[in-house]
Amino acid sequence: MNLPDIQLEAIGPLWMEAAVVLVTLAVFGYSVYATRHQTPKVRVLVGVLRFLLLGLGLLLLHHPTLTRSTTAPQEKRLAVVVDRSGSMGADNDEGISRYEKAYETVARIPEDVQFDVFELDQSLSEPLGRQTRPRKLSGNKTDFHTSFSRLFSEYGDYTSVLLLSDGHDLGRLSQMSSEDTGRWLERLGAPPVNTVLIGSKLSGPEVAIHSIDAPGFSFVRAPLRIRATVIVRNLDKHETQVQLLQDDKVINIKDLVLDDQGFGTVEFEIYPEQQGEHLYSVYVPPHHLESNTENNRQQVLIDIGRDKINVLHIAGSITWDLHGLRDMFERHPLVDLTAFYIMRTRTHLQQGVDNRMIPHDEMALVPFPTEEIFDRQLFGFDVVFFHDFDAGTYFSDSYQARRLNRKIKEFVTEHRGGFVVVGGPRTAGGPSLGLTPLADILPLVPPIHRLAYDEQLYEGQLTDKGLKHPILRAYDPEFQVYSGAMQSLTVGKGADILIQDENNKPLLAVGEPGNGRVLFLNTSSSWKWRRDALAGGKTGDAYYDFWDQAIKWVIQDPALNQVRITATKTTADPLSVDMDVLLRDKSYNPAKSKDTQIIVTPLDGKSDPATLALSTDLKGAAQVRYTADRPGYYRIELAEEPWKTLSRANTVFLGGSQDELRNLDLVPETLQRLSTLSSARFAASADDFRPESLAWGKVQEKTIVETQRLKLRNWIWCLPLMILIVAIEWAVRRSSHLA
Amino acid sequence: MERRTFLATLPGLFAAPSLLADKQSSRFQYCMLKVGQQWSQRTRALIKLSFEVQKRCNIPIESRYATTALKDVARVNSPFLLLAGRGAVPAPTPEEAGLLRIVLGGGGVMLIDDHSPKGDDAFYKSAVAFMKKVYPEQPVPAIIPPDHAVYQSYYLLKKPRGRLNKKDYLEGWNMGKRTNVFYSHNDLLGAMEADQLGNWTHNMELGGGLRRELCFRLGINLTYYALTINYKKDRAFPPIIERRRRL
Repeated sequence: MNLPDIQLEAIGPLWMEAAVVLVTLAVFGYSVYATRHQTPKVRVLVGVLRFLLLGLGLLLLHHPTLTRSTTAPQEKRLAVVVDRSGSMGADNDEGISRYEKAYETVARIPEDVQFDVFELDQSLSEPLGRQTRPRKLSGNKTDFHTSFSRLFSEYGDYTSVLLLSDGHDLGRLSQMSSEDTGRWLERLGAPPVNTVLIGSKLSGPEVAIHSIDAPGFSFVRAPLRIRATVIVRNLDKHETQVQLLQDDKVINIKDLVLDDQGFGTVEFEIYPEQQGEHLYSVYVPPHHLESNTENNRQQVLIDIGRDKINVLHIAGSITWDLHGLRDMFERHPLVDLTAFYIMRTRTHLQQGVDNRMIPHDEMALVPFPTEEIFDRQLFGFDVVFFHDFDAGTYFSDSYQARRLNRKIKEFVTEHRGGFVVVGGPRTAGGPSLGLTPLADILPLVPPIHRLAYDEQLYEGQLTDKGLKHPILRAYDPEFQVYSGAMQSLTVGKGADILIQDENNKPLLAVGEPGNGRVLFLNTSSSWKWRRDALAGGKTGDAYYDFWDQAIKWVIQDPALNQVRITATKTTADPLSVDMDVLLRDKSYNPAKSKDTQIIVTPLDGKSDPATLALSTDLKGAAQVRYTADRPGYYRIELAEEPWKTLSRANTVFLGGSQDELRNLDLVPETLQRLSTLSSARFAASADDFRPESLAWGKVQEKTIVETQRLKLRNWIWCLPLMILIVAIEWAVRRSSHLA
Repeated sequence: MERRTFLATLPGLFAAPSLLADKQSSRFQYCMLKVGQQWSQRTRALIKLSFEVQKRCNIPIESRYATTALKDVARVNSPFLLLAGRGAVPAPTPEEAGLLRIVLGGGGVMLIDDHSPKGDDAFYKSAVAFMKKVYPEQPVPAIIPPDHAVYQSYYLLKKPRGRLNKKDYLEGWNMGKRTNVFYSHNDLLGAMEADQLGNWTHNMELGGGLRRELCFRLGINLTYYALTINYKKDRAFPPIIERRRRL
């Protein structure tokens, strides 16, 4: 038991402190002076009592606190820290994960060693006690610096630390120099950090993906660069190729050129054509003597979004309908427009203007760049508009016409392009699209000869397919009349008519040839929908909504798909995913009260796919949750038709950090540095670990076990004591006839 | 043809033009507003301009012009409106101003052409007051800068011309990036006005044939601007146009 310490607080600034002391002394001096006529005995007694009283008052003004600590000798206690990050999910040689192997090692610590288990990833867990069985991997990234900073500052009574890890660190520690690491450990008063490397040792020839440099987010049809660095060990003049795969399909191959240190870098440039999360794999074929082939593949999940809709708008004549559509494009916040309008035809050129040729530099016209647009830049667009365009007129010969039209067909069927045809007098009277390869993809196919364009009014009627179609959600039959239409069109293969007149003449039709989508509007008078609506006292927004929805539909905006699976993850539970499912049939009718299944497939192939049952409500919606047992990439898809065909499989990463899974090679250097700088032991494998050889820190003889504090102002006997002194002083004065 | 058959079809032949006129054609057509006393003074210029557009441009166009009163402006089939004349024009009623605002906001374009001789600004003042009713937020017109799309929508033009030579700029009322209303000080339509035999009705104040040709070019550019808006400001064109202008 120690004697209590007293702690005082200042009353205020130094001058105030001095003033209070001087006033107290002055009061005491005067009180002594006032008893000058008494006997010395009484004067001394009264003076002492008054001194005690004033002294006690002065003391209480300083908030006195009594502190008494109880101390005891320090115990030898071990903090066992197990890495539970994503990379610890990799398999060991023995068919168990590194994480499980780490706990096998923990179980070997003798009974007489006092220890508590902690787990770390990007932060440190609470102490788990004497835990010897594996729990659940978090899948988060590893951050030794943050975790150990907390361990040393909040749990400072451990005399030794044992770290079991594969050495992967994605935090600050791996970027610190040895000197900085040493200073950091010293500042925190770290005990010896014994380390054990968990994982398989590598030997012999080795070809591995060292790292992948890729953005986490990119855009549709924008260049996406994925750079991979490959390392080759113990192999001279090794030649190989690196592959880039998407959904197990090779989409690009590059030759690998190695430098003197065995490193080689390849860069892939691709143009994603679809929104959503895309899983790309970089793969380098293993050498035939290579024992560890797990590091020959790395994956990266990239979220492909859409910042702009690249529209190519080609118009064959200059009309109010062109004006309306261009005005819509200019107002649309997402549309990046490339437009070419035929402002002067060959006839004007051949005949001259007013029998005179206008000099070239007096006109603002540019020749129509047929090759540039259709041959070189076509696949960079999301949607191509043929607006009353007689395409065949502007190609130099029939060979070029056929080749470039075939390219548009390829753009739609193979590259997920959108194609919109607005039929008008030029489309009808020019070379027929029915003769071109485009006839195979058009939902309305013109005959092979030139047509008349009938300018009479047609009243459109929604077909069954059109009733629920998202393009026509704001359809207003009062204003959406058709002033003119092409005649004798036939419905293309697999196409759906959405609007027709009372004589079944198709006015609006859509089709989904191959991977793309096509829309055919059989009139070039849609601009009147807005004008008539405005004249009728309405806003005219139905016109913009029609074209906005049409563009979204042809570019396959996920929001307009019939079947949608929306996967949502949270940082609180990174191994779980909530799936919102919306089921609608091909005609966009909600699939009410349907029972179906979702399949969640782990892409590492280490376990079987999970099948989750779901049942939709009256709106065709359902929710389902899946929790993975280890971090990794998972494919989510509907199991049954027709939903499987109408939906697109989602790929998600479950777990906190993708970086953890990219490179699973062991990093013993991190652990070696920690143990060396803290004067502890490093074990190169779990088998090399000897509990008896653990390094321990110096045991302190006494450590504070408990501290008691007492504030004198709050002490219950403080006031009675003062009253007692006053009473005695009064009694003395009374007995001496002073009072 | 028998006489009776001919007589039976005769009313139909007379009715045909009116039936054609009622048809909701998708073709471009100029539309003269019946505003003020002098609105019909330059209507033949529109026939001549329509003919030139038909001959030179890829714009399907009606050879006839349309006319309309302000109260019927929302029913105009092709909203390229012209307000022309001299002397003061009456201000529109709030309803008429509202209708005109809707038409212009819905993609229409208006050209105000001033026939007044030098020193007579009654038309200009009344036109500004007229537009103040339509666009109260923009009480005075802005000068159209030389790099505006209207000077390069088809022909490359440096300055606006007309029968007169009062101002070497156009003025206009802008909404966002678009100019909805243009004001020509120089009697643009007067330079294009010709009689039925093709003789020019008015002499040019300055110059002759070339200057009249430049007036037609401005008329055509205004037409193209109405239909293609800022097409020639798209990223493909400015470098080429700049190069040509320097030549």
